[in-house]
Amino acid sequence: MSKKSVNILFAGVGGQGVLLASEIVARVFLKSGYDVKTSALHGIAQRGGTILSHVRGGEKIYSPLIPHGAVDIIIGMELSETARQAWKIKKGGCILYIDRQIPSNRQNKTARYSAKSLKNIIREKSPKFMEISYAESVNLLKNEKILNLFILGRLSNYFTLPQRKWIETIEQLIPFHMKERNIFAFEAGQKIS
Amino acid sequence: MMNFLSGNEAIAAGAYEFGVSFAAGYPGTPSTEILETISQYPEIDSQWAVNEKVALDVAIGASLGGIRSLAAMKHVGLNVASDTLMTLSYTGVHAGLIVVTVDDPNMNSSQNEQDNRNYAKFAKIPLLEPSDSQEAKDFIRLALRISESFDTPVLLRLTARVAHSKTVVKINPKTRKVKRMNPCDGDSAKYVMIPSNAKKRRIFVDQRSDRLKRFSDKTPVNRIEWGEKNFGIITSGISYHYTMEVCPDQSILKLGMTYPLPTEKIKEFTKALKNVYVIEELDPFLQEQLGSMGIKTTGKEVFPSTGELSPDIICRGLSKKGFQKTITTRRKWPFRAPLLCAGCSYLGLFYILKKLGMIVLGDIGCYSLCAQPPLSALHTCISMGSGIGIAQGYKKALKQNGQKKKVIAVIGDSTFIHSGITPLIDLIYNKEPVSVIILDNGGTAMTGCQGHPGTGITLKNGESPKVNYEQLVKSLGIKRVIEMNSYNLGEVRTIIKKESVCQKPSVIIAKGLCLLVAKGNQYESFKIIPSRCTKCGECLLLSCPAIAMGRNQYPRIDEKLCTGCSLCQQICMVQAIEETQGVQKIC
Repeated sequence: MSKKSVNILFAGVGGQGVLLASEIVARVFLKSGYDVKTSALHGIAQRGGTILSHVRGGEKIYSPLIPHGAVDIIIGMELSETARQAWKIKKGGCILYIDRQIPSNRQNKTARYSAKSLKNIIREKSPKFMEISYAESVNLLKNEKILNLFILGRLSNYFTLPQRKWIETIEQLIPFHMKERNIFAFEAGQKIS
Repeated sequence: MMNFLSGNEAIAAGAYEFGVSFAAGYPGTPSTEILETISQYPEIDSQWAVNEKVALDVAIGASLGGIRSLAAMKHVGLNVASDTLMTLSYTGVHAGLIVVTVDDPNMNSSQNEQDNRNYAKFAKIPLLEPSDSQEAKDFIRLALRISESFDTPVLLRLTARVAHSKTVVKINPKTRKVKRMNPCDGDSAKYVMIPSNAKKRRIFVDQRSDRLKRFSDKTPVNRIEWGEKNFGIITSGISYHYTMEVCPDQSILKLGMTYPLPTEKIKEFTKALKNVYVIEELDPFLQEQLGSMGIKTTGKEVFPSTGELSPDIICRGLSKKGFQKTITTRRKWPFRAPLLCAGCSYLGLFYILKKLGMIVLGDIGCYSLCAQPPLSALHTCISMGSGIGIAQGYKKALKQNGQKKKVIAVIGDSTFIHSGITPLIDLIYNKEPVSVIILDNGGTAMTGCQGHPGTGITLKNGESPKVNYEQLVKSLGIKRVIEMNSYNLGEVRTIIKKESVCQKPSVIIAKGLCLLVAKGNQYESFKIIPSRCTKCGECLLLSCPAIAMGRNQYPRIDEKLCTGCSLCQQICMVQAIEETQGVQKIC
């Protein structure tokens, strides 16, 4: 397995902005002079299915898929999707997740896990977990569509990359009229302790 | 300049840089973005075709006219174009011609996982398999070179993982090398495949294959990377990168051109090694060819022949010399199935079809999702347009069994134009009383609402004449043509009930705009009044993602997801669903 690489796995549900968030990280890595690969299958999953996006940065990256047990950080946008991926985390890796639950079968409540049991799975796999409250975040942001940028802000604290590169990349990838509120969310995310 | 592109985008960048001047295709995951990206280059004449066969035919015409051309499609699309492809191999090309196919191992968005590398062998044409976006771009150049110097179409095969992964690509945004040739006029011995000509061309095809074999040995895209010699690996496509992840120090024969195979290089590689593994996704395409050369390798004995490979699967295959065939999951997770959008016009229509107990024969489109519970209202999905033919045969069998039940075929608007018209003519010609519902939602919805002749919107967002479905099917000889609004369930129920007892063929055009097209339209969302709700659960049977079971077993409408379609209000038997105040927009 190649050393000296950073592997981030984004897990969520179609429509949460998982692909945009992973694209921003990838481009910031690229601007910082690293080889980068990302992988996410899209298509039918757009319609409410699971979205999984791999981002790898380092000196030289081969596989666009992160090998199991080599994930440094999991960004979880939804509880059950995060718990589904939790076993792939590296020992000592960190799971950064939002405590939001979107039922996979809205009609049938019995097919759901309780939020508590999902959190236990996540915490057991990653003692260095970090939980972000969905209710508090939405209260702060007044808009749940920018939660992806909010969590991205928190993720950016893990790396010592210049702030300018993050902001530049966000400006490049997000349409002008939505720029301001996305940067607001990103910077608010950076302030989460 | 460095850029960060998906495999599909890199194909488009290559097409631009190496002078492809015409491109056509039909949308289909995972290949859709090839044409969508190409369409952004004004220098390339690009278009959606009605289906993959027509896309390839038009590309051949462009090649004969003297411009480099490309046809792109998903793996099953090549089945549709294969009639042309098999003989195109004999005629060869004039200007360079590339056929791009994107396979879907693991069937993430497809009905099967056929390995289209077999088409190269079947049609006796060269095959290139890029492993990342850089190669996807570079192989366009190579493909054009092979196509023009060997007089052959070239099959460029990606898999979904290569097509959708993004990797770093060197691009030259300002260079574009266009090679213009005089049109080919009147070489009938080459292009008119009557038997006397075809027999001569058939001999040419074998001679060409011999020359291609020698080329395959020379080309640097087939290369040996010497390393540890306790065992060696022969691999191609995305599997190369997975292999490098697992064992970068081993000796590897990396194949970029996988048909015909470089026999000399393979012999040189395998002679030096005791054990050779072949790592490839899906069929043992390489392994079988090596076997016929008398070279014994380990491949499908330890690596699965279905689904995608991954670094972990390769690791397991190499270490244990075996893999578990059963899919083992750590926990029985509730599967997150893809859903129809909240407020989709299909929800109400399929709810009614289910209520009326209809036999519904369908095919490929968003409506395939109506087969899932609780709707469970679709009974076949095999290939584009096949629902109409299947319905005819089913009806014949019912008749012989003495049953009078009416059979319904459903087909999307784009699918109808792709391959629904010919089976409809057959239905009329053979006089079977089947009702065909054309689900007109104003776009090729499943792949992102691309335009088609029924919408009159072209790939480059231009306008074209719209197909008039009513006039079209009437001219085919259908007397009963009914238009209905899919959002008016009273009308839907009456019309389908009436057609289900009428013993004549009919076409129902069900209108209901796809919500991706209707973006920005205003609406008022709905809510359930608990005091009137009897918890009967009828609204849940609609399977609208906006309606979920809430507290105390009362269904609840998620205001943020609701699109104000009113379908649930129409089916509620106790009038417990009402509009909320306040206008919102579909986003």
